[in-house]
Amino acid sequence: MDLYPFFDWLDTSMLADISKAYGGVFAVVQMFHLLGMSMLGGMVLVGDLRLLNVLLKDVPSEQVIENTQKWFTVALIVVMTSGIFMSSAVAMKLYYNQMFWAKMTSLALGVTFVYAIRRPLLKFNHDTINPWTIKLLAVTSISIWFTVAASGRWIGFS
Amino acid sequence: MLNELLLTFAQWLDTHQWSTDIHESIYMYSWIEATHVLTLMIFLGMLCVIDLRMLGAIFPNVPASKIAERLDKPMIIGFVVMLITGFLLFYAIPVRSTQSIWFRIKVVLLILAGINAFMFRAKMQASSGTWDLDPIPPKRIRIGAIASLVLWAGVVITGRTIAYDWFDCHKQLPEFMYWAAGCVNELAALEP
Amino acid sequence: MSKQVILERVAIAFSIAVICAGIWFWGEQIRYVLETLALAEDY
Repeated sequence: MDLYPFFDWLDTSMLADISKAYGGVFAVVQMFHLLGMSMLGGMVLVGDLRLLNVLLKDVPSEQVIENTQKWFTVALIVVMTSGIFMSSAVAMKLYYNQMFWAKMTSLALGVTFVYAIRRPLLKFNHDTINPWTIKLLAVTSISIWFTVAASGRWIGFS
Repeated sequence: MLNELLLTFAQWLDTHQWSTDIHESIYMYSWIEATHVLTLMIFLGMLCVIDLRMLGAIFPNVPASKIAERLDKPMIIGFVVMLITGFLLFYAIPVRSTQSIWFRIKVVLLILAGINAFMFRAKMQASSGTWDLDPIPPKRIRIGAIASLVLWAGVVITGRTIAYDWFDCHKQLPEFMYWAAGCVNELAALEP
Repeated sequence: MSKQVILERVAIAFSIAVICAGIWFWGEQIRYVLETLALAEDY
């Protein structure tokens, strides 16, 4: 699927007019991206470290997962919205950037993983799930979100 | 005066070979910076969960002190990494950082956030017996949590804006800004 | 097969695939960095 037309359109859209016109606006939106990223990281880590039996061991893992879920979604919405805005400012540059595509791939995998696999599976009683599967879920989750964040930062350096 | 002192200190750091090595390295500076930004997910992430509990917005059925206690260690680990990487970033580019108005505001906010955290902890120790199990803690605790989130958001924001040159010393700035940012030479040049 | 069993199997397959992809991706990044540093040395 060739996404060039989409990026070309994005680059000259009204959103791009706003994001490109004022460096200050871009900066403010990027702040929200960073703060959203922090919240996302916190929710992912608290959940995954509980699944790995490292943190909050005396709180039932079902409870930890349930509590971190809502704020994870809030954080994800914040980073994605701010991300789209920032992308519009440099759309064509991003289209040709390898790290950007690495990040988008990881993000797509991450979102699919969380909402189509991990969340539905963890709704069942955790005692009935193979403990190694649970640990695998945690490791995969940390790996994906680390890659999203790291490749994201590296866009700026590439 | 303080500005002269800070500039002299920064210029001295600038003479260090290690400072130049990091600054001019192919990857070192970028890696230190990336670690600094990514560790936010650990440090601020944990802080976020703790503060949200203090606002009654998460884990309402878990004692607030338990959340604070248990998440403390990873949070402190994250904070130490932030401090080390942060210092190295400053060390690599000491003069510009010292004369950056955003960096100065960031340091002030860091100190305020530290004071807030300290007061918060003291308040918590003193009164946790009474409201610990409440899903929504009392107002003064909630205010402390909001102050914490606002101050740390400020630290992140000012940290990011250091990179922008809007108020760098080489720009045309009002005299007050030269003073606030410690642009010693530019201030001296303004003298009649 | 119950929904839970299916989900578990999909989770395992997906996780292994993702982790392998991740190892490959970061391995490539490390290789690229080492190459660049080696080139810099030669220069």
